[in-house]
This record gives sequence, C-alpha cells and structure tokens, in this order.
Amino acid sequence: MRNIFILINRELKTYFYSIMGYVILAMFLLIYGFVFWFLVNAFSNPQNNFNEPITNFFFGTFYYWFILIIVPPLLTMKTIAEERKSGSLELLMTASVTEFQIIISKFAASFIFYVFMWLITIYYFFLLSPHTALDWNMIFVGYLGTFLVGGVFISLGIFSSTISRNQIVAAVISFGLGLLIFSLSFISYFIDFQSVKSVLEYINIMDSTIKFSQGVLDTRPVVYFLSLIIFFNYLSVRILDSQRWR
Amino acid sequence: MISVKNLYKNYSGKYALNGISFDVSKGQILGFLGPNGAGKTTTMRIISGFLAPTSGKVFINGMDVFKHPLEIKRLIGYMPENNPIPMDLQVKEYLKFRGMLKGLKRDNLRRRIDFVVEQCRIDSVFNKLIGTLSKGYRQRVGLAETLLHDPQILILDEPTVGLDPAQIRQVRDLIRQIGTERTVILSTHILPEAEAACNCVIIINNGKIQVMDTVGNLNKIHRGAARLHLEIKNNISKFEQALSEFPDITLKKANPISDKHYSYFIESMDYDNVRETIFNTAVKTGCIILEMHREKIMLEDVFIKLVTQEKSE
Ligand SMILES: Nc1ncnc2c1ncn2[C@@H]1O[C@H](COP(=O)(O)OP(=O)(O)OP(=O)(O)O)[C@@H](O)[C@H]1O
Ligand SMILES: [Mg+2]
Repeated sequence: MRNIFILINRELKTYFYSIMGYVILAMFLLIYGFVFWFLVNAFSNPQNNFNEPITNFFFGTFYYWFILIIVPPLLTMKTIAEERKSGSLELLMTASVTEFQIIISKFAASFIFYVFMWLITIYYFFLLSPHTALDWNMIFVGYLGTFLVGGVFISLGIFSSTISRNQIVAAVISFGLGLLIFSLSFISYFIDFQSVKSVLEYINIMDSTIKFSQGVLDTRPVVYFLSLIIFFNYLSVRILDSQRWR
Repeated sequence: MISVKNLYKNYSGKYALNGISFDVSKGQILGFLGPNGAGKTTTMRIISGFLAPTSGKVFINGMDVFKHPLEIKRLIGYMPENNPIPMDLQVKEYLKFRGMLKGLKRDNLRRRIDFVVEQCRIDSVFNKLIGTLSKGYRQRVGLAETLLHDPQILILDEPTVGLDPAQIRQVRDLIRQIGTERTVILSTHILPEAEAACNCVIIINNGKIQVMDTVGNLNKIHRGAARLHLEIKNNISKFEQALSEFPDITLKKANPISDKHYSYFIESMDYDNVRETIFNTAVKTGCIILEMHREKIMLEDVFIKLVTQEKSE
C-alpha cells in the first residue's frame, strides 16, 4: 500500500510538472466553459421551453461524449509505453514493487487527474445555483457516471499503453478500442431476440451513461463499469508480468 | 554469492544467450566484455530479475532469483543500459522517490540520501532538475540511486558510456571505491576500463562465454607472444634481408624517422629468443640499434583476437 501511494505521488507529478497535463486541462476547461455558456444562453432564452434539467445536457452534449472518448487516451498513452521506451520501466521493475502496484498506481493517478479535471466544472453549478433551482442529487449522479465511464476508458488506455512501445500507438489503440466498445451499444437497437437484447442492454455503455446523466442511479451499470475497470487492469497486470518471458 | 547456471535466452526464435554459466564471489568486481549484441545486457537483465531466461537459473546467496523476486531486488542495485532516469524531477526528488520505493523511511532515508550524495559527489546539483544536468552528473545520479538501499550487489550496464575521458576516469574511480565492500558486475566495450576497474573479466560473444579469468592471468597467458618496437640506423636493407631468413619473426616497417633512421614493429611467438636474434643480426650486418622495447599487450589485443578467432572458425 505504501508503494502504491509513493508511485501515485510520482505519477501525479508527471501530470502537474509537464506541459501536457496543463494543456489537456486548459483545453478541457475551454471547451466546457463554452458548453456551459451555450447551455446558459439556450436555457435563458424565453423562446426555448426546456422541461428537462440542465444536467441532462451538461452530461449529454456532443462535447461530453467527445471528451469521454478523447481525454482518457491522452491521459494514459504515456504511462507504460513511454517508460518502456526510455528504459525506466526496467528501473521501476527492479525496485521492490510488484506489477500490480505499478498498474494500479498508474490507473489511480490518471483517474485522479481526470476526476480533478471534472470537479473544477462543479463551480459552474455554484454559479447557477443563486439563479435557479438545482437538483444536487442529479448533479452528483451525473458526475458519478462521468467518473465511472472515464474509469473504464482510462483502464482501457492503461491496457493499450501496456501492449505498446510507442505512446502514439498506445493512444490510437485505446481510442480505437474505446470507440469500438462504445459502438457495441448500438447493436442492441438492431437485435430482436429478447434474451440477447437484455444482455446487450446490460452492456450498453452509452445508455447506461445517459441514465446517470438523467440522475438515475442504478446498481447494474455501476457493477458493470467497475467490473470492466477491474478486468482491464487485471489484463494489464498479466501482460506486464508476461513480458519478462518474451 | 552470485551463481549463474546454464542460461539460455530465446528472443522470438533467435538465441541471444547460449548456455552462460559463471560464479561471482563476494567482493569481486567482474567486468563483462563483448561486442555489440553479445548478450551482456540480456545476462544482466536476467540476473536482476527483469527478464526471465528461457532455461537456466540464477542464484543469489543461494536463493533462486525467480522464486524470491522481492528479496533479491533488495540485495541488488541495478543501473540499466543508458541510465534511464526521469528528466522531469529534481535530483533531490528523484532520490527521495527511489529511496521510499526501496523501503527507506524518514531518518534512515535522509541519512542514506546524504551518504550517497556525498559519496557520488552530487551535492552541487542536488536541487537541480535532472534534465538540465550534464551526462556525467546524470550518470553519477544513477549510481547514487543504485546505492540508496546499501545493496550487497551492484549491476551496472555500461556505466561510463558516452562520457568524456575525464568523466570516465572519475566514474571509474567511483565504481572502484564503491566496489571495495560490494560485489560488482559491470559491462563495457572499453577494455582499458575493464583492466582498470575489474579484478575478473568475462569475455562474451554470440551469447557464449569465450574467456573467464582474472585480468592478471589474461595478460600472462598472452605473454608468450611479444611485440617489439625497434629503431635502427645504417645498413638497413642488409638487416631486413638477414632477418627475413628467420621464419618465425615478422617485421613490419613503421613510419621512417629519416632516410637513414628507421623504426619497425617486430612480432614473434618467442619473446626470450627474439631479442637475442635481433641483437646478433644487427651486429652481423653492422646496424646500430637505437631503441628496442616491448609493447605491452593490452586486453584489447586479447579481446580482438578471441572475438575474431570465433568468427573465422
Ligand atoms: N527485446 C529484444 N527482442 C529481440 N531481440 C533482442 C531483444 N533484446 C536483445 N535482443 C537481441 O539479443 C542479442 C543480445 O543483445 P544484448 O542487448 O544482450 O547485447 P549487448 O551485449 O548488451 O550489446 P550492446 O553492447 O550493444 O549493448 C542481440 O542480438 C539483440 O539483437
Ligand atoms: Mg547492452
């Protein structure tokens, strides 16, 4: 456990000491500032008559999905691939740490940065709250969903980085796989068998995320997302371990 | 202390190691010599536990490296090829991070950091970013890091590569000093380095050990062969002709010093007799010997001989 904290601390430094971390953060805030401005304008226009709460849109625009798919590969592409390329992975693996500790701390650090990024946007809701009634429960569930899906894509990103030697390749793989897993969600719309359909609905990442954004807290997607996170991290550990036998 | 038993390593169908076995006893400084691609790095990675061998075993203090990875890692300080230390940290931060990873705490951590900083003489760059340091200093930071947990064994993969001669000497002195109470395995292409820093040498080529011996012995074995440097004047062509009648003596002309004054390299397998022969021939032909001395055979010659022998077989 101590090792994991030490490693997370070091990983976080790579985000906060490097221009990369700040660029991602700045671009994200720029885009989300725009989304917020756009939504506030749309809602305050008396011609529009929205019956839905703002969270449905805040966690549901095109920009939201775009960020979900794009940001995790950018955050994770370097993690293992870069260390392998520079040789510092060798240094890490010959200290008294296990493969599990390495993967879990890489995952945790990327996840913490991701959560940090999103948490900054909470202040938009604080800006709104004096002027309109907000359902903080829904906001909370919206963020929870965002973090969980993000966690899935981050663990997928770490996995991609574990199998690559080049960070660009890692980013492309995790982006591609992410998009593919995401697209699995659409299959359920075209299938009629009830049994298959219910399975596909269960693994439908997009619909589950939309439910979160509507403030519906269901345990099934929570369990599903958590198991995906565990699955990808487990794969990464196994692969990192197996690479010494190449 | 370290016992390497019959290592084979297969990288996707191609054997990089073909049965490497050797023992290193406590306090030895072992030099690993070999041309590019000989298998030095592969062997060191296996000893440090980073790679698994295809077959064969490594024991350290009687423990199998692959059955007790964490215990073994505590015994070893390992510096990988190209010294891959992070550029984005300060020396201070880096040593602290690595020290904590190696299980050092508070007072002990501070004490060990102070100690390695002093031993490797990096106090002047202690607060600097590693990325801004010169290569020599980075190398010393890498060495300091390997010493943090006071390991019994140091494995250094080409610790002096890319340094200028003054830095090479400093790092080499440092290694020798560090090595007084530790077992060290270091790899290098630079032969004088092995001669200067090590007390035992392994020459490896194509994944096989060609020679394993002490530096002193290696030089002794090849003592039989001699290479003389000779300077003579007067009656040079007569001297050359007379000497050419001895089949086991080869005469090579070096750059002439003036038209009457020549210098030669002479090679013979018989060091004791060749000097007398030359003296007698010179007297007979009326030649004057200005200078005759023996060229020291460096490990380099031994090395090149062994490696090229292997190729021509
Ligand atoms: N990861 C790898 N995958 C495939 N082949 C490899 C790998 N690493 C090394 N090899 C091959 O194994 C052989 C031994 O390589 P190794 O790096 O051990 O040599 P070396 O003695 O350290 O050489 P150098 O002096 O250049 O550092 C080489 O032929 C190399 O091409
Ligand atoms: Mg090498």
